[in-house]
Amino acid sequence: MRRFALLFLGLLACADVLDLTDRVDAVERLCACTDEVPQFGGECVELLSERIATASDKTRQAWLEYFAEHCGGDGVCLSAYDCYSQPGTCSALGCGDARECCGFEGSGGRSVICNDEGLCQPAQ
Amino acid sequence: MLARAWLCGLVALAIVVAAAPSARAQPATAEAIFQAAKDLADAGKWEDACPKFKASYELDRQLGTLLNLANCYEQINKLAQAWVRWNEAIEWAGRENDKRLGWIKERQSKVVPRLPKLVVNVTRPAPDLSIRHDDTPLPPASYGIPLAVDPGVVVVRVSRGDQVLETREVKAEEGKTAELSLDLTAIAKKHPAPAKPPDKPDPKPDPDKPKQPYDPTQRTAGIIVGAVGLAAVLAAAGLEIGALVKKGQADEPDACVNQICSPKGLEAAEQGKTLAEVGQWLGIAGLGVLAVGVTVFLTAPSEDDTAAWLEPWLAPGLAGASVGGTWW
Repeated sequence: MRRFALLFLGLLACADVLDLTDRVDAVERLCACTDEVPQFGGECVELLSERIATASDKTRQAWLEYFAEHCGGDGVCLSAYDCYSQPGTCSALGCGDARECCGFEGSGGRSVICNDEGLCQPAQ
Repeated sequence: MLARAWLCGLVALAIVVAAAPSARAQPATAEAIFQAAKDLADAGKWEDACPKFKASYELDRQLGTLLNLANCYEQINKLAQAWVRWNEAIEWAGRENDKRLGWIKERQSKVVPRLPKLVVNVTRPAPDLSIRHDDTPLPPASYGIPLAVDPGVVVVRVSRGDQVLETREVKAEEGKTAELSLDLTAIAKKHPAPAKPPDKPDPKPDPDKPKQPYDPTQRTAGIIVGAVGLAAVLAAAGLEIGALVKKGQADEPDACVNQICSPKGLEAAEQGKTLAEVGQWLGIAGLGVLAVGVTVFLTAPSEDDTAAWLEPWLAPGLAGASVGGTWW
């Protein structure tokens, strides 16, 4: 009888059945790695959330897939900067630090700087 | 004749002498009865002596007493009973290596050819009838088999339970076999078993008895409570549909991938989770209230008979109850 009652309640635990529990915010996990990613002060979550929200659907999907594959596990902070520097969270324009800019120490040996006007630009 | 009387006296003396040592060890009552029986036997009053030998033997079982009893039965021509006692004595003496064994066997062998036999043949049996001769029940296995009986008139009774249906008398003579045929089926038909009293019919309702006035209060309360429960269940269903919509949003490929979500995807998932949980508990409560309402309704007094059913059902992720019936 008790088992039946538990089964009954288990079947009714709709949030579990709909697989809506245990989901995590990728940006929050990334911003928890304060030593590995560029310093944004207390505005990391707000800033990166805005960037990912304003990215195109395709860019956001690609970023989530890359994050899930490389930073989804327990060792998220080991590859945190790699995940941050993907299009979607890295900055193509405004910056406070060169490390924010897409392509900073990125592929192809290119590097970028954050100029005096606070914009990312290729290093000379 | 003189020789026979001398032989009897010798036998009686031998039996008394044989029994005497053990009789001394008998309880006082058994010994007193035994002595009384012996005195009667010495006086030739065998009919009176036999019951006393039997009583003494039943009080204190001794081989000497048994031999006296067997001899006593033989003296009063109860040959079947004598034969049974001699047989019992043979077994006893053989078991105890008693030196009188040969003499006991000789006595028993002299009785055997004199024994009257009775064969009861049952042509058609009847399961509820039984047969007794004198006071001895005859099991079906003994039908058709020669049975040792005492000489004289043997009374055979056919009974159903304690009721004797028919009585037959058969004359049993020494050394001869008497036969008796019984058709139990015919006897059973001749004396049919009394029919069982019929079961009492259910008392019919008294049409003159005034009916209780119909009070719809409980029915109304049941309907209201049931309606509240049903409304809660429907609201829960609406919330679950909302949760499904939010799940769809959260499962968009640019919202969540393998439980890793963008802030927007996570927000949809959280909203869906909240809707699902609220809907879940509202649904459970609604089902409970609905069940109470249905119970109150179904147990309410009605003018006519009401037949109804409530059947809960479960499915993965869903639960509910079906209500049906005929009333009004």
